[in-house]
Amino acid sequence: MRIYWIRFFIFIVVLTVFSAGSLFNVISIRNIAPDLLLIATVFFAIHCVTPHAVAASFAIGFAADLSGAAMGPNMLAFGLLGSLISQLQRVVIMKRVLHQAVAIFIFALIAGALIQLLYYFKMDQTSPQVFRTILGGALYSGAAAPLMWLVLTAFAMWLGYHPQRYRRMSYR
Amino acid sequence: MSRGTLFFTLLIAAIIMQVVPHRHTKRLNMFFLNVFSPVLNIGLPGFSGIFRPASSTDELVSQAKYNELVKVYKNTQAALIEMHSRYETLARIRSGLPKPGPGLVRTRVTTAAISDFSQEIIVNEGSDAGLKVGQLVLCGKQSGVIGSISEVREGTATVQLVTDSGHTLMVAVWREGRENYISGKMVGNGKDACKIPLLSREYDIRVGDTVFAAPRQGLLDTPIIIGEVAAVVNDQNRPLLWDITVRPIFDRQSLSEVVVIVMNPRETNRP
Repeated sequence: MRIYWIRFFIFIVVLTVFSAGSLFNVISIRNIAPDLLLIATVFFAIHCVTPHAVAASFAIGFAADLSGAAMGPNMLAFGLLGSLISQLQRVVIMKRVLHQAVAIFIFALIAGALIQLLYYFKMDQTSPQVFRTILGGALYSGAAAPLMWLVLTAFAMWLGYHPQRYRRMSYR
Repeated sequence: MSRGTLFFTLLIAAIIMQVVPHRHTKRLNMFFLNVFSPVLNIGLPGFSGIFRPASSTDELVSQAKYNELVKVYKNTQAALIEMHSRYETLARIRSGLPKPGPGLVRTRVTTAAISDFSQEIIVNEGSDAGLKVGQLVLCGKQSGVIGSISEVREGTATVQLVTDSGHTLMVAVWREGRENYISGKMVGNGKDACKIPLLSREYDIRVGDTVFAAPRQGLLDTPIIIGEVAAVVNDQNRPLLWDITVRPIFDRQSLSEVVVIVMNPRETNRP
């Protein structure tokens, strides 16, 4: 299946700028907002063939690092997690809204913990109220996942993916 | 390229990003912030932090009290603007005297990189305007010290805020009626306050004491306010020392214009 990588990078840049911008603060609750890039990572990891999923995961992680506090933690965490999820494509079923929310919640918890750990190694400090940040971020990401999933499904076709059709192929 | 090769190539790239010291890789973060700052700044920073429900009744005041506070605030703000204007005029005059006093370089904040891990802002003046590493930076509104220059480029400079965990500054603590300052080294706590560690409990420090940036040869002639002591408790690990928390007077969310103290303005390249 053909993928439009230039469109993909444009999409990721737009998503990164949107999620890092002040406008996004409007929907944050006590400085906690859904992690759009994490949801995008899981989405592409689920729906793409493995090489594409690996490249997309690391690319999204790199974008998350650019807009974050330091380079490295998000790229490593998203890359590893996205690659792992791409291997679990046949196991992880995210057809129902509830499944999407729960899966994103679990992945956000794991990614959040890993990112905070990597930040600690890199910066010698952790985010204040680290548990609140991880748990709150995971809950909010899980709640926002179904809506974000619809948006990503619409964009996926523009990017060259056809999630529904591809999912059936992956089960064969 | 096989999937394994691709994975390990990207993994190694990510590990390199992780292990390279932050002082090198943060240029990428700054580049992103500089490129997209017009888009990133759309909307009100901290909007939801301001317009949120009060978490307890302690945060609520009556309408009458609120009106009274608003009046006092506006009066104070007006007095502050007037005093600031006078201060700038005096500073400009003083820079022309035989013994040059500090010159002030007014700059606009182009990018604020304030997160849980670093608290820096980028201003639109650099070495062209005589800015150098170590120079102290004042808040454009309150004339209090907010940080110091950590990096200088030709047309921009990075200001490390006093609340950044990597920022250290010699300070003097003073209370009205006291003859001498108490000196100490202040470090940022990485959040919204600072600490003065290693200060003996023999010193009389109380909540509300004023904290000044201490004069330093070539950087500052006279003490300038930073904030006030917000908490003084016994250091749990070292019983003979105080654990002092300082609350800076500036508001991080509203930093739009800052002033850099340039001690030798005549040496600058700018006419």
